[in-house]
Amino acid sequence: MSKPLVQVSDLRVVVRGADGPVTILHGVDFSLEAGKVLCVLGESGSGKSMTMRALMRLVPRSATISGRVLIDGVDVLALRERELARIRGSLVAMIFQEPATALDPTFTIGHQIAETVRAHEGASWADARRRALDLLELVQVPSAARRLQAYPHELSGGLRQRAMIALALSCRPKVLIADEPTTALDATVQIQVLLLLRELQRELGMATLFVTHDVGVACEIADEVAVMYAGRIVERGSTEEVLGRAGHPYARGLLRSVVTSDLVGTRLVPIDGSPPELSALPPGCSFAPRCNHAIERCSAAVPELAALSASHRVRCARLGELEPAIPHAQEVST
Amino acid sequence: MLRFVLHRLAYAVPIIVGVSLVCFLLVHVAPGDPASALIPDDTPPEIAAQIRAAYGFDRPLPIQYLTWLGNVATGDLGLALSTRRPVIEEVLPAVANTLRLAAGAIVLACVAGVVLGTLAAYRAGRTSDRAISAIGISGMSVPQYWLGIVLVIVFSVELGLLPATGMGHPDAGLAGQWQHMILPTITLATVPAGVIARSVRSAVSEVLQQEYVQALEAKGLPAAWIVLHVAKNAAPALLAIMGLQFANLLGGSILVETIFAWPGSGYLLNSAIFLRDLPLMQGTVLVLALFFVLANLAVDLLQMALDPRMNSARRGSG
Repeated sequence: MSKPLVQVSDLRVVVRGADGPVTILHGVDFSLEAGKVLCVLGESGSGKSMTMRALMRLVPRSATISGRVLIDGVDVLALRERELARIRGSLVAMIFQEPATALDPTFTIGHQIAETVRAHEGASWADARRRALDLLELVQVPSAARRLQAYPHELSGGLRQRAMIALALSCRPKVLIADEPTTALDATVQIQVLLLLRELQRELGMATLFVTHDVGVACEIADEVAVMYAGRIVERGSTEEVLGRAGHPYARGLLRSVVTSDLVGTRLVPIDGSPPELSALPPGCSFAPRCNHAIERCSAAVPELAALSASHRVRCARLGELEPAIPHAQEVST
Repeated sequence: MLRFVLHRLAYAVPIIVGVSLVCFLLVHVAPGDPASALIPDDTPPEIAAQIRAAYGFDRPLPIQYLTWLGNVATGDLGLALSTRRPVIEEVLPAVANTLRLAAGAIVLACVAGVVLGTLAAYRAGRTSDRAISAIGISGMSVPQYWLGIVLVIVFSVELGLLPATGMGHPDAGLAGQWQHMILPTITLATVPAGVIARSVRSAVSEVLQQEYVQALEAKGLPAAWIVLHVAKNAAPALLAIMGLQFANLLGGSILVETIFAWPGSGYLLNSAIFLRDLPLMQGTVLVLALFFVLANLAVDLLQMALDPRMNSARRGSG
């Protein structure tokens, strides 16, 4: 087994709020090898986006990050601002969820790609523009030369996201972070962009962190899956392990809420309740108040991430006590 | 682009006609006869009627307006009653003097406003931000006549560093006159500086909250490059405000120019009002209004040149 390219241990983020500090991430650990795809699954507010931003230290000024983030041997949290700017975009690049707001509306696509190349490689404008053109062709933007001159608002959502991907790839990053890159797109475009991303990831061999709340997307592209809940990873393992033999009741609930054609005539099973207020987390397991299997022990202490297999870990106090099968949607009895 | 420029120019025409109409009527809705200032009270009625006829005040208003408009179009604003000199010869040098103060004041206000506002936006919520906001509000609310007098007392009377009034020898040029400009320029700049600082702070902090600024950081751009992006995004809205402030300054400040005895358009307007010199008043207001319209036009064109979204919206619709 090669040395992991990304190693995150005990990553914590605390945000100073109006009513005192709120802990958004409670010690997140994971690692990722070169060329692999890790999907981070979870609902809004589970801390998955914050985890990704913390990897690049892209957090609001009111937030403090602690723990350790090693990317290709670089201790990201120890870098000074200047050194940080040097690795952002070149060693690790990010694709944002909403290209309409993540691209500067007042500069052309070509300029925005080219300036990144210039910032990192000191290339001339002419060379940087040539690279931008190659990149737009790489992400299959039709009539790329003309699109270089286009402003973001002149492109469709799908083309904008392709431009965003081209931008992220512009300095050949070893690690790509994609924060729900297909969520803002139409369903048909989503699949195109997803397939493109998978193809590029394989071709360029980037380690990829892919944030999504869509189990189907995870299934499609992930080598490994991590499920987050209330600022903690509650389950992680290979895609087959997590999606096939989920151990955590929350992960099972998440999988049960997937809609597929097999479910015609059945009633969907939602997870009861709503995600907890991060400023007022329950003691012990954060999921316990919504969990059908919760017992007294669950609220006593936060369970450890316990190993189910060499790679499969689950943070549940009743691990092993619950039936292993995943009950899918129940037949409608009435 | 050219099409939009022409379009916008065409829009300016009815505005200018409207402005001229208002200027013309201003004189005629004022109580009393426009000629009454010329005619001593004991003048026999026949002579008074002759004088009225000589100035054309006996003809119907629309005819008077068209005649006046025709003259204005050829640069003839009539004769100033008080000096018997052509109004245009009084107005243009005065406007030039005002323009000089206005240009100095707007440069000062923009530099101070942009620096302070940007600083405040980048340090939002901290002590320096609050201090700058306090300075901005003070600048906006300090009465100009008070500030002008205080500056004169401190720098002219007490310290004897700068001249208190006037603009120096008319032929001295900028080299001989710049000391005279300093105090009135500072006095004029405080209000626009406060307005601009506040607008810059809100525009820049709004841009800083946009996701693309985070995306620019994620690309690893140097901080100075990011400031450029922020500036380009905040600029269109700010230009409009700066242009408006400049247009306001062009009108000249009656108070400031009077305090410093600066022979600008405000000073001229003040004396025209006191002397009841209606043609002079009319001419001054008209020229100032024209400058105002032109300044707004320039701002609109600049704004469009800077904002690609506006640009293509025009292209799309026009």
